[in-house]
Amino acid sequence: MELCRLEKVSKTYEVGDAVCPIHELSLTINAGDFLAIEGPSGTGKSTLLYLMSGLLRPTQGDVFLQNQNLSTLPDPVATELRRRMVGFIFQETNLFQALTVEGNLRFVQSLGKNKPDGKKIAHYLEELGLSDRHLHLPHQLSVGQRRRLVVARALINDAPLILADEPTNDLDDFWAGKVMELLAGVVEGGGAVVMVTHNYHWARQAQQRYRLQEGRLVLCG
Amino acid sequence: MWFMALENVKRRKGQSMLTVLITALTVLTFVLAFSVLTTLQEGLELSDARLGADIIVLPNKSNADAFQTIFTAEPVNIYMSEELTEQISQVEGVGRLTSQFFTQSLDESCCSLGGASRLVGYDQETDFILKPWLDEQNIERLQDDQIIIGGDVPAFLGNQASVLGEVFTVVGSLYPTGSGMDETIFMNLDVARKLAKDSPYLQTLWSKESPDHLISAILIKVDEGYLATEVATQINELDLTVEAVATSEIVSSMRSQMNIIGQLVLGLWLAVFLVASLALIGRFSALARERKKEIGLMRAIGVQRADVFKLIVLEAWIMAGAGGVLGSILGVLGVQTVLTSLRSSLDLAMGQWSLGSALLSGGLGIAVALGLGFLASVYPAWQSSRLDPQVAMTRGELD
Repeated sequence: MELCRLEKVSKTYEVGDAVCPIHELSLTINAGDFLAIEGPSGTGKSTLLYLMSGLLRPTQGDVFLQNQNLSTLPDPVATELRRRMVGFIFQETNLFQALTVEGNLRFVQSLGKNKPDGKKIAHYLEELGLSDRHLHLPHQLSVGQRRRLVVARALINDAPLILADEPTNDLDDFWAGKVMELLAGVVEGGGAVVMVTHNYHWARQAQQRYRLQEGRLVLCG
Repeated sequence: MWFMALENVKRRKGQSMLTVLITALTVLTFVLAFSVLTTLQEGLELSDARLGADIIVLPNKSNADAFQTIFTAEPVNIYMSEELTEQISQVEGVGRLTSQFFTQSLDESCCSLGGASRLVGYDQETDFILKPWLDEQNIERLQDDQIIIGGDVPAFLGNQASVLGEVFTVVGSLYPTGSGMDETIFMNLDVARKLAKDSPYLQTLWSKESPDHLISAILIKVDEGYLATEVATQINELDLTVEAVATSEIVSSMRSQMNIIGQLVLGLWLAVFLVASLALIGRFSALARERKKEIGLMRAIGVQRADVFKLIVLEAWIMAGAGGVLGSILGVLGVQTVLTSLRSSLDLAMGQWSLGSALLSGGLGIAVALGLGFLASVYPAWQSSRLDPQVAMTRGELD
């Protein structure tokens, strides 16, 4: 089942000299896919994830989420589609500073008029070693704990497509392994994961590895 | 969204307190201004409705005027001959007519009733001013040692009160009228005359004429179908060295003065409201800029623009609401002090400050606060809701 499709997508940044990190890139992500995208910093890996989620509009080409062209959808429909379809693990550990660990997850669950599911929250907190921190505010957590919370937030709504931007950053091997396990679980459950990483070790766990080179994806080994 | 808004407000304690304070001060000024103006307005209406007389006749060339006589309890020692009532009663349109004799207590001479109060002797045979109250309190006639006190005179029923050296029993307390009657002590006409005549402090007034046949004011009710102003003109044309004034004219003149004061107070309050609005718009705009990253994140995870707008307005409403409640409570608590101070320093008719008035002012104060909160947050909320999530997250200032 197709979850996301990019058709000849280009993105150009017109700041000073034009920069084109993504150039006529086409890609289809189906349920069950686990893709790793590698490449040096500044090559446009994060930009690609933003384009897939609809958070960034392409300069050329089209992005489809669940066969719906994001560039033709009105904002409320595109926002709702993104909420349902995409779980985004951002590179930055940005969290709602006013809410506790549990509150951050509860808030995301409550979007789309869903009832918060305490059991699921407890499950992810347990899995990611945050149970004893559930009433802490984000600024009371270590960087690694915040990273794990960002992962939990992306997974909590069972979105079929997980876009993970450096999900193992700031984590020791144990917790990085745990995060990779959870991502693999998404794929096993019928979802798909697109992961951007610099880490060769973790990238090797994906089914397919790509390198972003001159705006295009090149399949690795 | 409520929970998120509440937590955001709690998180920025200092800034939230500032917003609450600005709103509270704005609402406080509103509640005070609104309450004072409505109390004054109500006083005027009460005076108009309960005055009982359509025309008041006072000695001409006296220092007192009709306004002072009706709306203040200032002791006035003005007198004219009792015989004038006969001539005035002949004027066409004069229906009922009664006379009153004014004198005063002295600061030193009252034990229970403090200060220099106006003493009014009224004619029990012809009176129609006090009668409605007396009827309600089942008092047919006042004995010579009995008095009735105005609504604001501090004494209790059954109290013994010493007035100009004589001891009286308080048998009734009038309902508030918002006029000078509220601070007046009423007694029999002849008793008042005798008190004035015997008081060593007032002897200078009787060097030319004994008070036995003097009166201070004639109060007239016109017959149905006659205009009070026309009847007053006819009385003035009799050349009796008296001045007849229709009470409606006094009330109307008072009302126009009140309107000017009202407009002035409203103008000043609007200036306060404008300054507060600008301050809060600045506050919420800064807050929205500061929270770009957070709002970008919300949009990125699927929060709708309308919900971002709602969140910012909701936060503003929580703070403004708290400020509104605080300002209203402070305003309601402070109104009585302001009214008391106004009563003692200005000759103004005032209505009664009641629980109903407090609830109305407080409720309006909270509504004003919510309006202020909406006005101040609507543009920043709209701006925030239009933010591009990716740009906001990557360029927004760190939270």
